Formats: sequence, structure tokens, C-alpha cells
Amino acid sequence: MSVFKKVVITATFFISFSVCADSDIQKTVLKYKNAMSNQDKKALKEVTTEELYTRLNKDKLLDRFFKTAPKNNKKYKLNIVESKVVKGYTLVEVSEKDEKHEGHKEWLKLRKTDQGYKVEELIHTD
Amino acid sequence: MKTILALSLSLTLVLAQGPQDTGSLCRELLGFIQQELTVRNMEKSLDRLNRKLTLAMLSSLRNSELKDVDLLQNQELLSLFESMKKIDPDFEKLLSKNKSYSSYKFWQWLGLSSTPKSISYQNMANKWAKIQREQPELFTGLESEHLLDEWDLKTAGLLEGYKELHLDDPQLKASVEKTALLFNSAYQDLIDSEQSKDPNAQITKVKKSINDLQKSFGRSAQDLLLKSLNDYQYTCDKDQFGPSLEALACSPEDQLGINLDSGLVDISRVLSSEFLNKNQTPPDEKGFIKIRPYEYENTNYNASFCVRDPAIVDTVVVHHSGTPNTDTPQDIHNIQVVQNENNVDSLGRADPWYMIAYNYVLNAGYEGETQQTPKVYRGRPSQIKGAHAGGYVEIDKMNPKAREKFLNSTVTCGYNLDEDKEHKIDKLDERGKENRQRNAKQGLVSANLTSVGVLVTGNYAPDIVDGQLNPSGYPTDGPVRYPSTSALKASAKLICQLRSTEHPNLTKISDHNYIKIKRNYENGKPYAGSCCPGTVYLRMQKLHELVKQECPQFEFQLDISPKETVCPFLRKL
Repeated sequence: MSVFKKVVITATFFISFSVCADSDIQKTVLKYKNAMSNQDKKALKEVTTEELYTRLNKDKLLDRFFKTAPKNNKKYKLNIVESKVVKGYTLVEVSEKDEKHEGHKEWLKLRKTDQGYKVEELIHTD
Repeated sequence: MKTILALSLSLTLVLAQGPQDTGSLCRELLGFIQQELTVRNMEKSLDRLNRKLTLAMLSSLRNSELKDVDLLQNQELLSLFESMKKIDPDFEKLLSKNKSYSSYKFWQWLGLSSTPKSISYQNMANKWAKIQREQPELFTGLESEHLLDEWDLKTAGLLEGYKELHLDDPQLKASVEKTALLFNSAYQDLIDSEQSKDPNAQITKVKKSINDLQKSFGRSAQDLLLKSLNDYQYTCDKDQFGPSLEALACSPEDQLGINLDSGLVDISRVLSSEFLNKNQTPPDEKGFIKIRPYEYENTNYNASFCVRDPAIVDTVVVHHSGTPNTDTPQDIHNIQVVQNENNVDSLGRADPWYMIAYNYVLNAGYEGETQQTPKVYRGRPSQIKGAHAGGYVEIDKMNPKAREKFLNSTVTCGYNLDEDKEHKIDKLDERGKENRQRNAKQGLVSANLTSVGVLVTGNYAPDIVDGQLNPSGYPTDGPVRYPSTSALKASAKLICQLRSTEHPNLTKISDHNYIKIKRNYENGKPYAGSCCPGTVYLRMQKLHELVKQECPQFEFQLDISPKETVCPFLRKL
């Protein structure tokens, strides 16, 4: 096999791999947001780390949150940052596609586990 | 002229802390450390002592039986058994199972021998130690760490003296009383259980508990000592602590007991309530707090940054991180660098952040938490423009001296391509120059240029804010979380420190929300504020008062958000 072919194959593999990683992240985030919107604790548990899930249930936070947040289905815009500066650090900025609520943004920190990407932290920024 | 003279005199007095003054301050600090190490760890020391006494009894009982020791011929040992029985009558059960003791009791019953005198707790500890040295055959099977040592004997001595203490500190008094009670119940779980019928099993169990306790005590005492020394090393150096420091300082591998021996002489001093009351809290140094250097990893060298004259800074802006207060400066740095890694400017050009946005980072406990010494770390160096403020300030409204400096200095932006630790610009970035010139013509300057950002690490907002989850915040239906007094005091000291040293024209204290919205708010225009710094905002008045106390020679203006501009949850409080 020529060097050129090897380079092309490697590059394609790398790009596919990156694209796969991106789409895995997307899937996790969307599952998380849908679980939140549908107030589905079971689904939420699957896409969050154990530590985060525990924290979300501490002081009945999720229960209180679900009482105030109506169930809905929204569309989201994701800005995925797989950091090249801080190795292994993945943040996703999630904003609602609905223009009326464009101000609502949140940042999720994701961790790669054996079971795929999981939401590890909700970053609250002021 | 008079003002200048007065200021010069104040400055001279502040700077004229001679070695002697600092020396006595540091020796007082050492007194505080000694008290923390000894008296506040007394419970652990006593627990260890009690277990060792129990082990000494179990071991000597076992060995005296195995070796067929005639207790009638060993008054020392008998006296100890009788003394232990007096302290805790449950020991009778153990003793009654022992052949040698039963034999002695038989002859006693017949009136052919008398009961030896029982002795005090302190004497008992000394006697056990003595018998362990002189009759080691009675303690076969025990390692050296299970035998009574100098630390144990001092602990026993202290317990005797506790009754005479008249303590002012209620917390310390409660601890002493609790410690005294410990002794009476210490043995129960060790020997009074079904599993402890086998004497060998009993001995093994007690040995293990001593080992575990020793590890935990050693660790906590070492941690306390090393941590305290680590905190104070920024105020005092080794020479100022004096020769006692050498006696107390331990390396992690050394056995705590051995190295503390020479310092134990001072333990007897803690019986003096005057000493205790005098050394309850570490002595305070007004208007000064050490700014600790911090080596940040993951600096984004693809980002440009701007360098300015620190003298153009006239405002300190207070923030909260909105993250757990256990986050380190590195954690905050990582979040901010990654969040802004793909930033672009208005022309679509890459515009990431170089490093953490703030210039100073404070780590401290929340109000109501066990207080650790607040620590201040450096964020962006003082000459580097921050990325924390947002918004613009009117040049005319700047502090006049800061304004003068601003108008006569230049701002340089660029890249640190060789990645040096001094953050020197190797390649210029002229992109922002036009913007800055345009702003200046309109009488405006970026708030980030004329301010420094102080971050109070922590989440001072409720766990649901604006309909969004904020898990590290405080429960919305629970008590509100505020910064502790020590955090506020540390912030006040920092502000004073910055004024004395790095930013001589620092005269205003503001919160993040206000620096962001001030111009629009004052001009009656719509504004988009921030919930930052959370409930720290509600303590800014107190902060201002503390600053006045810490450095009365300086004047600061408090310039904070009007209540109608803050987040709804703050308005309600």
C-alpha cells in the first residue's frame, strides 16, 4: 500500500472517529435534556455520572426542580468544545433554538466512561 | 502637604515592622500551633492511652498465667490490677478468669495477704510504663508501638491537671469535659463483647485498634502541624519561629512520637489557663495577607492578552465562582479556558482566553462551616488585563490619579509564543487597538483595564436560579448561604494589601453585576446584569467596614449595585 493511501486511510479513520465522538456527545446531551424535559429520572440516571446523579437528588433538588419546570419538548443548539488545551476536557454549551428564550444557556461538562459519555457537571456561570 | 506627611508617616510605620516585632508575633503563632496540636487533639491522645493501658493489662494477665507468675510476689503488678479495677469495675470479670489472680484472691480471702494500694491515673500510667521496661517478659507479643511512651505519660499528666483548669473558651471547656468522660467508657467496646472471650483475640483486637488510632492520630496531627506551618510560613520564616520549631517539625516519614518528644516539655505549659486563653486564636496582622503564587497548567498560548500599567487600576470587582468552594484556582482556570477556547470576535477571528479571568482567587469556608484559614492565590498577574468585568467605564469618572496614569500609558496586547512563565509578549496583536482608540474618543475604557477581579470561590446562589439547576448552590428551601467573616476579613486584607503594594490608585470596591451594567443603568438604558457575586453582594457593606478597620489610612468608595438591579433571589433577601 502506498504512503499516500495509508495517510488517506488514517485521516479518514481519524475524522470518522472524531465525528463519532461528536455524535456520541450530542446523543448524550440530547438524552440528558430530554430526560430533564420529560422529568424522567430513570433516563437521567443513564446519562449522568453517579456523583452528579447523587447530587441532583440531594435535598430533593430534582423533585423541587420538576415541580417548577413544566414538561416540554424543545429543540437545542449545541456548541461542543473538546478542548485541545485541557486534555480530556469536554464542555457543551446548550441553548434553546426557540428565539424567544435565546438567553437560556447552560454548560455541561462531560466525562468519557466505559459506558460512553456521561454528564459529569452542570457549570453555572454568571 | 499635611496629608502627604501623614500618609508617609503611616507608610513608614507599616513598613517599619522590625525583626523583633515579627519575631514575637511568630512565637505567639507557634504557641497557637502547639495548643492546636496538643489540647485539641487530647481526645485522640487519651483514647490511645486508654487502649494501651487495656492492652498492657490483657497482655500481662495472659503472660502471667502462661508463665505461672505468683502475683503475691509481684506487688507492682498486683497494685496495677487493683488500680485498673477501681477505675473500671468491669475489669473484675477479666481478672477473675486469670489463674494467678484467682490464686492471689484465694489467699486474700483467707486473710493471708492484703490488697495493695491502688494509685492515681497518672501514677498508674507511669507504673505501667515502668513495669513494661523492667519486666518485659510480662508483655511478650507486644511491639514497641503498643507500649506506653512519653506522649502517653504526658497525656495522663494532663488529665490529672484538667480539674484545675478554669477555661474561658467554652469550646475548649466542652472538649475537656468530654475527654474526661471518655476514660470511663473507653474499655467497654474493647473487652465487653461476646467475641472477646478468647484472651488472644482480645489482645489482637486491641492492638489493631491502637494501630488504627495511631495512624489516624499521627496523620491528623501531622496534617494539622504541617498545614499550620504551611500557612504561617508566609508570615514568618524559620528563624523567626525560633528553636522550638525544629522540635515540632516532622517529615511525613518520621514517627510523630519520637520527633515530638522535645516539644512535649512545653505541653505542661498548656495546664496554664492563661496560656490557653492567650493562644486561642492566631495573632492578627492588620491589612496584610499573603498572596500565594500559583502555577497554572493549561495556559492557552494560542490566545493573546493585554498588558497594562497596574497604576491605572482604580476598582476591585468582587465575584463568586458559582462552583463548589472546594474548587481550586486550577479548576476555575480549566473551566474558563475551555469555555472560551472557540471564542471569536465580531469579525469572526479566533479570540480565546489566555488563562483564568480573575487576578486574585480566595478560597475560604462558607459561613457556618468549619473554618480553615482563608487563602489568597494569584490569578492573572497584576499587569495583565483580566477578563472578568464586562462593560465599560467612563474615563471622566475614574480616580484622577488612575486616569492620569491611563492617559499617559499604553496598553500592549500580544502573544506569549515562547510560553515563558513571566508572560512576556513576543508577538504583538494589534486587533484591539482600533477599538480602544474609538472607545477613548467616546470617553470610555474597558472595565477590565481599570479594574482587578477578586474571586470568592464558592456558589452563593440557590440550587435553582432563574429556572435553571445550580446543584452546588444552597437549597432554595433551606438557610441562605453567606460568606464567612473570615472570608470577608481576608478579602478586606487583600484589598488593603493591593492598595499598599500593587495598585496604589485602587479606591473603589464594586460587585460584578454593577461594573457590568453601571453605564447603561446610569444613562437609563436597558441592561443585562448578572447574579454574580450572589449573596456576597449582601455582605459588601460589611466588607467595606472591614476594609476601613484593616487599613484606616486609606479611603475606599463602595460602588455596588442598587438593589433593584440585582437578581430576584437577592432582592428577596
